Amino acid sequence: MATLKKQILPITDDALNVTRRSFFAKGALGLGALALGDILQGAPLGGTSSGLADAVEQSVRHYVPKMLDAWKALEHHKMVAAVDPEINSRIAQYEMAYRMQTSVPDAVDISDEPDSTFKLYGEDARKPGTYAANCLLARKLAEKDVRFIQLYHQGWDQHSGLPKLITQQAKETDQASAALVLDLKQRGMLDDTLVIWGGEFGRTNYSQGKLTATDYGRDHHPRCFSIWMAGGGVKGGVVHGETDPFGYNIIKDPVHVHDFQATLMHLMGVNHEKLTYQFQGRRYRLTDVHGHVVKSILT
Amino acid sequence: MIFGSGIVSTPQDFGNQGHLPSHPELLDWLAKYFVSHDWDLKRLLKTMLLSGFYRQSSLNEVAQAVDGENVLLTRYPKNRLSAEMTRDQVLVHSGLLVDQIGGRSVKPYLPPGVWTGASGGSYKRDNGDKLYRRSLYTYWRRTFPPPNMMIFDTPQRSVCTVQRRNSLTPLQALVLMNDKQYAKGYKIFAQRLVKTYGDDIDARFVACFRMATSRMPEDAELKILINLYKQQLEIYKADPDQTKQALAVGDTQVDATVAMAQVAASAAVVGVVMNIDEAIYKY
Repeated sequence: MATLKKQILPITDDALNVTRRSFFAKGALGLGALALGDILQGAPLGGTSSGLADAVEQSVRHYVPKMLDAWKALEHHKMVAAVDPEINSRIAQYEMAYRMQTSVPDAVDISDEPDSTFKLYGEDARKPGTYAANCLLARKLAEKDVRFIQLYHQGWDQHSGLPKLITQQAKETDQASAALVLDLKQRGMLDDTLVIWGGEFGRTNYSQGKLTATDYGRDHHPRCFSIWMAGGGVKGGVVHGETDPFGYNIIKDPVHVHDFQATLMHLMGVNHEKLTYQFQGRRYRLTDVHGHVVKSILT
Repeated sequence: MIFGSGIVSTPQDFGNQGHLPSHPELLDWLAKYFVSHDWDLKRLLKTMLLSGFYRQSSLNEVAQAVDGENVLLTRYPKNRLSAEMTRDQVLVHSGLLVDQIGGRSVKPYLPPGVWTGASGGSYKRDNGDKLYRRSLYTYWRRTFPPPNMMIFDTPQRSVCTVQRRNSLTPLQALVLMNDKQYAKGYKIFAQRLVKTYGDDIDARFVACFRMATSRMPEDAELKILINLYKQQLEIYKADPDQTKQALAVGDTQVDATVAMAQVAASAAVVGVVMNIDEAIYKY
């Protein structure tokens, strides 16, 4: 099995409503690690959610290195006096912050990308904040060994007006998603990078609201839905599971969310039954007391 | 809030998996004191703050050698200011703090786009006094605390939290150096120092250091700050555009009568002082 270094997770559908209520997610786009601790939370970057990019933009000032030097000199002075090992880790965090400040602008800079990149990802990739630009950004971050990269494409909640909107959304995501997989493959990165495309529930196969020749909607349908994965130790070109002919119920090989998570953890080299953490007085597993690794999709 | 952790170190679990009180007699004494003084919380807090234990330094090599685990309470248990205190402190030092009590929540600076990403709604930032109220009054959407406080371990408020985490991440450094509320606070703090102490550079940075850390700087430390100031001053004097840019953070503008380059260079030093361990931790 390939060792998994990076994982790229595009998430579609109206993720906010569901993730906000779920145990592990927090409101801000599910970037939080809640019970696992904020140290594991994500840092929003690019697009319109520009926490980190914004901090970086404001901060690459000429004096930061000097500031850091002076600061370290002060702390060092004190460290000698006080023998406090914790100061070292704090200095290390500042150095890391400085490295982030200096490396993030480079990591998100697409000015050196050849035209062939934009042919592959689509012209949208030139516009910051588009899904295509984020796919390109994901590849660049993966090249820098960022371990978890999550891309969002929101607004898939068409209770009405579906034909028009789905066309547009498919257009925004289709080419760039394929491009990301192809690009990782041609760079030899797909073996240790797992790309997951998915949302958190599906839509009904029947209409919701007023049905006309040109317009209708679809309701939430949590009973069954599909996701796809590429690279990172999973088989390509196979379909796992099956629904009835109406796409209403699962009739073969269901994968519960705990099974899915157990499988991801397995791919990352973690035994989901062994890893526990203490939260509010008891030890939890990430898969609670459930989950089976879906072995048949592994390479 | 006062000592960083309680006499029972597991307040989230007073059951049989929690820890026993480290000092049961002290706990009893405090409990009786609290009850017999009419459940007066303020009085209880004051008693703790005036205690010998609270007023001890945390830096005591002899005590550390003899009482490594601090069982005998020989040292103050060094701990970080809360997210709210960290922000409030900059407001206090810069003189920007509006200490009005009560009233509606306020909406200070937020990095652009963060709110839209998190809530789908729009965030209409307040102006004037509302930017400078204690962090206690900052508008807080459930599950989405203000990011510059979240990074300092405020809870999400989606599950009950009786003890905050104490994380140490590079994002904290980025907030303390770059967040608008902080960068602007340093600028106004610098202006205040320049106005108060004029050209007496020593006095300016002694005051700065003292306010941030509650102690006098040692000679070697003051020298580092003054050298940094001189370096920065050269750079800003030579480049008025950069000076302007450095001082442009936030709404409140620097007073035109004060020498701009001096303020910008002092703000860089203030930034350093407000980032050092002793400004963020209680020692």
